[in-house]
Amino acid sequence: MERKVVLFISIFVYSFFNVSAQDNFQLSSGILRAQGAFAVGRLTESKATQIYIKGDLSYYLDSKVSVRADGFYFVDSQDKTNKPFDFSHSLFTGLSYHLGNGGAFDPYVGLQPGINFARLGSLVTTLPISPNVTSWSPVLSGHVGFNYYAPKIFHLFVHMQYIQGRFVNQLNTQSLSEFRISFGLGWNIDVLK
Amino acid sequence: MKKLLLLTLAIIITVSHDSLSQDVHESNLMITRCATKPATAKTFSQVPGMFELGVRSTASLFGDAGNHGLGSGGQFRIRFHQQMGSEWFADYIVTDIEGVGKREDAHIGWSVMFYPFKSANKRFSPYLLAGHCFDYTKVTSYGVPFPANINSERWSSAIQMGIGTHYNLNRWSDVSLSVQYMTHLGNDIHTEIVEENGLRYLTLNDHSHGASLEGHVLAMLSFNVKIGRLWKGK
Repeated sequence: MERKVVLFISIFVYSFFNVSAQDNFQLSSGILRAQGAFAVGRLTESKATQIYIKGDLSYYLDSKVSVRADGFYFVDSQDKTNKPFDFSHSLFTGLSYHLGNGGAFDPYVGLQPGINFARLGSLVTTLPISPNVTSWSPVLSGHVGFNYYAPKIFHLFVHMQYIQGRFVNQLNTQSLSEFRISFGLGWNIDVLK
Repeated sequence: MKKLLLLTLAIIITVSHDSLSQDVHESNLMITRCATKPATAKTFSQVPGMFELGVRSTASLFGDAGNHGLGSGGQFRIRFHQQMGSEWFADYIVTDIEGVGKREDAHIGWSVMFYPFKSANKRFSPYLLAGHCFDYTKVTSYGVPFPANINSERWSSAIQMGIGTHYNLNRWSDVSLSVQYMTHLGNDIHTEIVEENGLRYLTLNDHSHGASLEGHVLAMLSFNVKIGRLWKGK
């Protein structure tokens, strides 16, 4: 069984990369890419693992710079006994700088200011129930990742993001600093063609 | 099993190498194409009438209470002249006062930016800035015992001046870093952390009689995109 799985992965990876490499994909201004995926985050202070549904949208100004917006919708914490927030949604907007040379493999780095909207979980206060206290918190994030463009309209992506911020509240202050990762299949079109 | 894993790894490395080689070839083609377009004096669009839109992250440093805050916001810019522009901004900053209180600042204002160097075709474009803003401040003391929150708020006006630089990523976008000192011209909400019987709490003192020159240093990192020209000029 393991052998079959490894073989399948090998063939899939080879086919994908090989087909893509043969296609003369060229990054240029006008490329609009979007994706939706699950993201997993780990808070650096409380060590809680949080799960999100995320979506992002990028527009390439040229092959080197794109404008990017990311939205994260909090689904749940993995461990119910370590749940600092009842919810913690966030939005980011900023720029990505693309390190590649305009080909199908597109590594990038970037920075995005953002805003977080969260409600403190009952486990981090002395109250027996959720305190129902929400707060907006400014955050700053840095990201790194890559896209691998296949022919026509889709691409693989891996996106990692580090978020810096603090939930400040009279019941408790909690660090919002978190490392998030997402990967999957995204879509792209050239709106200037 | 180990052999299969090694094989998989070898395939990925080989394919990646092939792809990268092709990318390098594509890059060379691209460079050739770009080289046919001569760089103009206005490659980085320091032209009058240029309208830019951006987002910013603000760090509030060395304020009255000595605590650091983080903020987010946005701005637009309008360029009047090759060496002069303006920035119109709004941001919201939250500061944790050592776990015993919280300060929220909201600014909305404008700055005039003066570019001492004619750096239209350069990556770095340093500038001096000075301006004015309206601001709202709310300080919440968590009180002792909980939940006896008390807060104090004020609307005031402020002036700011500082230095900064754009780093032009391409002709349509830039990253800007600036540091400025903002002095509030209205009432001061003076805060002090008091320790009594082993309990720490924040006292608020609203200096509503007469103006006070309370201020803070703001460091800003912003990301901007040039949208287009509002008017055409030299």
